[in-house]
Amino acid sequence: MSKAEELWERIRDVISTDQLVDGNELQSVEELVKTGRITSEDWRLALENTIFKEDNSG
Amino acid sequence: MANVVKLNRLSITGLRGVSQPLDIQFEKSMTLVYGENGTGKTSICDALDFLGNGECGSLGDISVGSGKHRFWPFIGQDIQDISVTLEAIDGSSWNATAIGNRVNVALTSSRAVPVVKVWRRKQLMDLILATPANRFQVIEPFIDISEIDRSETALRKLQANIEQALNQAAIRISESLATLEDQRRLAGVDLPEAVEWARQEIGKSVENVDTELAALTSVTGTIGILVETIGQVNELKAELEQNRENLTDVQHIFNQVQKRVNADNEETLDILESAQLFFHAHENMEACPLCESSENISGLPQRVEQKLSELSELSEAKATRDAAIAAHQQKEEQLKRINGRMEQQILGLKEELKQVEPFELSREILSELLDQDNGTAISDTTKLNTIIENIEQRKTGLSEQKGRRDSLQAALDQYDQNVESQTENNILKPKIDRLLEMHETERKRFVGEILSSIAGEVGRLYEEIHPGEGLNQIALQLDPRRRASLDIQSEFLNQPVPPGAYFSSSHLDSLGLCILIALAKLESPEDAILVLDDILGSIDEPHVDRLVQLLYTESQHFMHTLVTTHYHAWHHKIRRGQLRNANCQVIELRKWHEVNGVTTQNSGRPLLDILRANIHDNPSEIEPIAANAGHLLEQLGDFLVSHYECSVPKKVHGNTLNDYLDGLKSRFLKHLCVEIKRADDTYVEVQLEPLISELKDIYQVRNTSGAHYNELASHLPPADVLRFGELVVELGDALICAENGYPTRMKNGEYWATSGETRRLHPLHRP
Repeated sequence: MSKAEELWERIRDVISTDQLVDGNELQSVEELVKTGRITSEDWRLALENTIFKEDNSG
Repeated sequence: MANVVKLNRLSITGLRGVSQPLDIQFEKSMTLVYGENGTGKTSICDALDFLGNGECGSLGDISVGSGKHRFWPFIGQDIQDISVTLEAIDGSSWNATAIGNRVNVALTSSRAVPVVKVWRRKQLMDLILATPANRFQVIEPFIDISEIDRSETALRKLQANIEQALNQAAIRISESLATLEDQRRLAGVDLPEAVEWARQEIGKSVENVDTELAALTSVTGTIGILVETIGQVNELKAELEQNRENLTDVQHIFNQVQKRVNADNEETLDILESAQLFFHAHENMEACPLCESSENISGLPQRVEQKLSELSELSEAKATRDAAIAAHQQKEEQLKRINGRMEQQILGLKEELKQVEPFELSREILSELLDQDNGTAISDTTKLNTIIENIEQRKTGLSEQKGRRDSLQAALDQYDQNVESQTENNILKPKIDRLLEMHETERKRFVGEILSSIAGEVGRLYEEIHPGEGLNQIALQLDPRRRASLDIQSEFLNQPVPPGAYFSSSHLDSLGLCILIALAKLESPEDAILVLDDILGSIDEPHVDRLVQLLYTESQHFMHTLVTTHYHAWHHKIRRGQLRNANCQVIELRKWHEVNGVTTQNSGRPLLDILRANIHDNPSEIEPIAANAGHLLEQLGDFLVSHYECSVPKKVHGNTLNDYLDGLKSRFLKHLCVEIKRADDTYVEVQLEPLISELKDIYQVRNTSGAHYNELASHLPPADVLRFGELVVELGDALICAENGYPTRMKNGEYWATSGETRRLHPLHRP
């Protein structure tokens, strides 16, 4: 496992514990982070989808 | 230690200083490339850099602009000629070639291209003495978390975007509110507040306005066409009037001509013209076509022609009159058609006018106008044009009303959109802030942990080189105030200090090297080739042996370690057997030649092996045997005398062989013995006293045959020289292990030993 992957696992766990980003969204983001192709819009979409889902459930 | 696949061979063609293909056969896991400056050491490092990293890092320090790849090939050779091939002992191989500024590596197996970690002296200096930011740049490739950096950059950009969007939304909302306020004030309304008022206004139906605008547009269009048609009618009527006058004139002219030429009537002219046409069509008639008599047929066509000629003026007058009549009739038909069209237009316009409810005045005037003689009597379009102008004014008023409403709608839409954006971003903002904070915190913690672990390893390695100096408390820290910034702290006299402030150049070099090795070991060193290009600069003599031993030990972690140096002592000590070379292959570079390029020579062979070869291969050549045996015996004597602190005279020009042998007293020699480890791990004991005693008896053969020209040498039996050589080889084999050098490590307080205890030297101290 590369250093980047090792660090991502830590970051992912913290985000997941904090429930900042929904699990499925985090998985989508993970693929992009690991390939180094993540953009600000990807992060925004993940957050928006999480918040939208929260709104529906709430 | 992981299972490491070792390298077999490196082949270089056309790269940097390599003008002719260069093959380096790797024999051990560490290669020491020794050569003076400019012999091609860095070209070999560049070859590995080229294969592993797609670049020649040595060009990084030189100002050659962005097209560094132009300097990859040897001068005069093409970039396509470059080829670097690396082979491993398991059969894997990698071949690197270049196209443009891009390096392609072809694989022969599934084994990935080795990671090549190249350290050069400049990086070592940057690491120790540069600013924290530059220092971090040196270590950054070794803590490769670039994917996470990109993710953090994306988050930071998103945070900035949202902050910008919030600022912009606030500005737009303010602008929209100002516009709505203005509109409300213009409308002369005080309540309700502007946004609510705008919603009410926009809620009102605007369908009538649009319908009226469309109807008025249609009416003006139809009136415009009608005006045009009326214009055509008027024009035609004028032309008809003109034609009528013209007709009267040409009839009058015709009557006068008829009277003058005494023509009976115009029918006669018609008959003659018809006869002329007939005779043109029927030549050679034999009878009159009317009376069928042939009596007067002869010359009849000519007579008709003559009569017509006489009546030509009348004929022309008649043609003119007939043309005028035809033109007049045509105009009358045209007028009739246009009048019909105009009637249709008027009927259509009357229908359209029924749709124009609010525009009563013009509608009434127009209806009245159109009803006069069913509209066809209109010949003056002034009123119609005035009505068009009135309608256009009405349309302008309606359009302005619509524009104000559209403007109101746009301002309200902008207000709503920005309030929505503001609301959404206000929800997103704290979550992104939190996400970025987590990202940063974890990244800093992670890198901090790595640096901390490196620091521990650096301390351990540093202690190996400088044991007991108390300078092994190394701390590597990220500067919390800055991104990508590295602090190095050490302790000096129990005070934390930056190493550059108090360490000697030699200590800084060692520290830098320890950090580089610790960094290189961070990630899968078994798949990595460590290249240390001329990093040994100012390491002083007492520490160099330990540093070299450290490199030998640490090289075992890597797929391969290649060290270049122009530091002669290292090379020399290996030859003398003072440094173990179990895992180190020495390659010496010859002086670089513009045709031959970089060439190697095998000069790392220990003197003991050379002497053994002298005796075995050329026993009759006694001079080199005597010389090399004497040289080696001096080394062995120096080792024993120094190691056991035997008394020898201090001489200005150095000690002689006699001094060393004399210093090894008989009562001491009786205790000297070496245990030599055999292949089955048992030991055989060799007493040194008989060897050294015999050498004391015959060592003079060195001075006779191996030092200077001496007449006595011709009287010396070659067998004596050979014996001298054999005794030295025997003593050398006892004291020097080919793999591990001299026994210099104290073991168990009982004896001195080499690494792996391949030699055990007794006693521990001189009795």
